[in-house]
Amino acid sequence: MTTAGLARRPGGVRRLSRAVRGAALCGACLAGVAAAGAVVSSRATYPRPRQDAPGRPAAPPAPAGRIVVTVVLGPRGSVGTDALGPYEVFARSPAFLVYTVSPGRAASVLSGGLALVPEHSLEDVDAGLVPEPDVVVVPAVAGPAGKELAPLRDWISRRADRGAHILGVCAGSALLAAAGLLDGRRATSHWSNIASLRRKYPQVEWVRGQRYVIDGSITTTGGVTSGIFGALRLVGQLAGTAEAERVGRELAYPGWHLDTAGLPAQRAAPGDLSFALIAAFPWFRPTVGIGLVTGVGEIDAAAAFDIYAGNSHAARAIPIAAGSTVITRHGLQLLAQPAGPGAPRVGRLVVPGLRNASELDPGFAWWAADHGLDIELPQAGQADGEFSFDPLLRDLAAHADKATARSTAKNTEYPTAHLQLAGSAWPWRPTALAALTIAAAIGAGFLPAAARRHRP
Amino acid sequence: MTPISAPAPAPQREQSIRVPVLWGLAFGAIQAASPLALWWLDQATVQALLLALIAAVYIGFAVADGRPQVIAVESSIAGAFVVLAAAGVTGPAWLLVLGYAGHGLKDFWQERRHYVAGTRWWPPFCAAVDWLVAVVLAIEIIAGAGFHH
Repeated sequence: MTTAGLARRPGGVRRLSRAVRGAALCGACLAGVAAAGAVVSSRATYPRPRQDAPGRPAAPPAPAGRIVVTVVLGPRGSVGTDALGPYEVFARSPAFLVYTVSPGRAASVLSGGLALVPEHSLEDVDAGLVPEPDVVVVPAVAGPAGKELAPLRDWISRRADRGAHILGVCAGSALLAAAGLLDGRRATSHWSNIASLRRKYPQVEWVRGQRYVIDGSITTTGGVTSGIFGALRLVGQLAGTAEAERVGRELAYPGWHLDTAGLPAQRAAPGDLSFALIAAFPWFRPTVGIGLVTGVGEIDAAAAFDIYAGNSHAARAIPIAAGSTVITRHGLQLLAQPAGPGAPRVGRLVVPGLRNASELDPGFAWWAADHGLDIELPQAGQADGEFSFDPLLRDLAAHADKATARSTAKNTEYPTAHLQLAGSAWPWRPTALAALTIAAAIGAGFLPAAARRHRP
Repeated sequence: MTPISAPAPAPQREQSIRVPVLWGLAFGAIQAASPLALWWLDQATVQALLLALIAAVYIGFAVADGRPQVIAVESSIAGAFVVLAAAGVTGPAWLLVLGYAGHGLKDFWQERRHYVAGTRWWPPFCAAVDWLVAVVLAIEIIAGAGFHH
């Protein structure tokens, strides 16, 4: 029926108006809940760190002759594996001295809820209190183009002007582009960002399907774990191929070779629906305690938070340790909730990097037993020559579902062809919440009109 | 002239409630049996979906009413019932009994107070559905029926 026909029949117009109003209300309910869920997920990615964080650790004396690397941490949050992946790559080589810097003095939060105390501030470097960096690692940070990060962008530009190599990991390239450092250059980024970066920074030649792109002194990498490739490439360039091969072999990233830069170009696909559902309906997620122990590997720690929470949204992850701080294998100071009476309730306790429960602090083990928590060691079953993501993704598939494990691997640009994943096929919790929301939206949108029209 | 007494309103009101209540009982019986038709879903999931559906109806009435305070109150109440329904999908089935019984009370309150305008026959109809389903679910739980596959 045409609009003119409806206008001649007021009853038809009324019915059409009711239907449109019902559909709008239905859509508004659905969109409102999904938007609220997305906000909850987004805020949970970078939860606020504790306010009683200890002061910065004393800077160790800088041995002469080492190549100085600094890993920049954003004031509002950084992707954990983007930052700590390259940190561990460089720290594993005696040719490098690595430290973290951040604007201000507060603790830095990483994706998924991990937090650490940065070793130095930007001002310390400017004042010459620490060695001038030869390499600056820039991970994906929250709000890269915002006004708040202008001092950080200026600081990175100054380091580039002084001849430092810049390594932009994942969406760290957005910060470099906002600083103008990529103008007229080739660069890459996380696969999900490239389309928007092309629109926003057309003066940059954005490239898909590359682990890393080198243009002069600036290297940019694909998503999350691609930063390890970029860092190893720089180790090879600055400390020699043999050293890069040695560190690469130790890490055992599947399919890594020093000169391998290509990777399958990823795009949004129907399989990403599981991730969209989890992000839009985060309520009733399980809470996973990530047990941190002294000497934990930086990649192991970051991977646990990124896989269980930051890059999957499958759970809420809480760092728990014997004390309020933990020193990693290469000297980073991580913050944690002390295992004691004030520790938050968790449904599981997963300890990354540990192969034997007997290595756990006795007080921590007692606390877990007292709370009825099994100490789960995903990496106890890690085969020699396996990268630390493998057992964690298997554990995610077993405790969440395989679709979530695959979408998390895709988000972190980690290959899964070699992985045997077992578990539920689909995330039923967010699916059930979506169905409930749709039912409620239909109830709100259409039943009241029906109740007005008809008598029972 | 012989005075003609006005008809008493009470029987008319009883009659106006009786019809939706009877229809509510009929729909409630169908709803209580609906998991049999949706055999591939948990009974808890089916009943949670239906609880969310009926709980949200008052949002629509509140929007038609148009008063911001009514929209805010009814949206909050409906939200609470949807959260209860969501918890009932994987949690104890008694949550669903609580949800249906509680929503029946909300219908009863609406019928008495007419807080939202224009709900007409919906509150008595919905209360009958809610309380019948709550009773059936409670009996099933006590009898040991499974709510999850």
